[in-house]
Amino acid sequence: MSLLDVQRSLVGFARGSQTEYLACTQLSESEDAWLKSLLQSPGLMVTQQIQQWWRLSRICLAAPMTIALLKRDGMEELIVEYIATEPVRSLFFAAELEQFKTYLHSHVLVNNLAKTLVAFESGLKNTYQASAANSLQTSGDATALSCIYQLHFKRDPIKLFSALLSGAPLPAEDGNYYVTLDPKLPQHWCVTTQAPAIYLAEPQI
Amino acid sequence: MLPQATAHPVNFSAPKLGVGINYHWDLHHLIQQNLGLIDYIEVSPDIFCEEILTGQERRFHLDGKKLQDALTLAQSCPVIVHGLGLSIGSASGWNSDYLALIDQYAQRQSFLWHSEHLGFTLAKNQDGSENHAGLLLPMPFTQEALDLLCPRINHLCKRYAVPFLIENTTYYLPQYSNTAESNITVWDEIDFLNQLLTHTECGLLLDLYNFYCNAVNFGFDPYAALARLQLERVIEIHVAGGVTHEGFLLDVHSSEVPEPVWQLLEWLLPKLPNLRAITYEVLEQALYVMGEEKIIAQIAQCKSLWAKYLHLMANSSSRQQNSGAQHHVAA
Repeated sequence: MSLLDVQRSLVGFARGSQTEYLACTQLSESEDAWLKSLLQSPGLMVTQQIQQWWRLSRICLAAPMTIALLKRDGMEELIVEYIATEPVRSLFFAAELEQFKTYLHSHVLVNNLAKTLVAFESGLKNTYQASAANSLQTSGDATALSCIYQLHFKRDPIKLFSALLSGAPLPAEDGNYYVTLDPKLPQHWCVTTQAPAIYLAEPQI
Repeated sequence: MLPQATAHPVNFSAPKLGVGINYHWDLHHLIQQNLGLIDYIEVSPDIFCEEILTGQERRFHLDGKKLQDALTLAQSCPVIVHGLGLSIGSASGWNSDYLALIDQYAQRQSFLWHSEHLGFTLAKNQDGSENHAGLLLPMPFTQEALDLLCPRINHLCKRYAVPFLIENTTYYLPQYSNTAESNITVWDEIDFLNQLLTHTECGLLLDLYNFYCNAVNFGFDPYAALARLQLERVIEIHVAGGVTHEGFLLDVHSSEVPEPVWQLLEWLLPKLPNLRAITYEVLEQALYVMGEEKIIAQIAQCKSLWAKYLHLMANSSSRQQNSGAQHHVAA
């Protein structure tokens, strides 16, 4: 068995998958016995849990309001399902958040508010990055990171965000609110009227 | 298969730094307010890095504001680098993007040495796509792993014109062990570390808490094990605290250093002639659980042991000089 086969098996085990292990066809008796023993070992469950905790903590830190909303709506199982089914593509926060956003946006059970919220938190991360890159030009890739987002809420965003972060009741739907995310804004986002929203939505010439 | 080698002499010119802490922006204020106690910061450039995935395309960039804060703080104290994301042991290739990140960081910040964990975080699939474990997994302590690691370590020893240290890690899965029908070489953790040190020029970052976790979780005597280690290659020590879960002591960096680890450290220090630094590692989230006072108390305890250590080393050195002078007179 090559080191690569061992590592593929171990990564699979850590993610709760035996596919990689079962694909190994050149196992000696002792190697097979060792890998089988790992499947029975209490340390494997702990290894899997640590991996899940890290991932959960990344999502909770990156998208606290979306997570709060999913919990209020009794949809925690979506978070569990995401961690269990979606591969770990990256160990970084922004990439994890982008992947989580894609997952929620494609899920039929997720309502529009949760989809907008995760888009807001993901957009905020991207505008912050663009701003940071522009301020020090650490990557030389600042232009590519420039980004402006426009999002539509049916509740007052300030009251909504405050309620989600404090655990207070959510404000009722009472109109149309537009939020602009832009690296040039002081806090990288603001509530705007519909007019700049339409203007900003126009393609740049 | 690596050629036969003898132990490398220690050629480590960095000064004895003292006691430090890992850097995180949440700990920035604590560090700034205690620079009399904290002698250096240990920076993981990974924390400034953001990865952006667009489809299959991946881009990295350093968070300029957070980096700038760390650079400013580093004007008041030395910096050492401790990497998290290299995946030095991946058989399918280490994380070269991580090296590019360290290259970027090295252009902006000088550091006295750098280090990385002995383990791997990803294994590429047959189609070339990356399969991340989501945590650091241990290397099997085999000849094949040694053959993979040694050239990589030697490359890292030269890449930044500062020394490189490899760090022992915690593991929760039983290691592969030799059986009569197996013809491959398998070592235990200590022998594997010794092999790495013998065949490379790196120093050892001995994480005492990780080592203690392994000793508790797998039931071996840490004193007997450490007595077999090439202790003259230990350049830095990590201490930390964690929690017990499902019968396993976990490496979480979330609490105070357990008493047995302090005892182990006190026992070990006189045996480490080339030690340069003791780092207390704490997770940023622990700041809100432990509070600043407890964290400072941990660093102060390290500092007290460090003072004893310096005293011991000074006495030992003067004894050697006296002994040398007596020999000279006798001759």
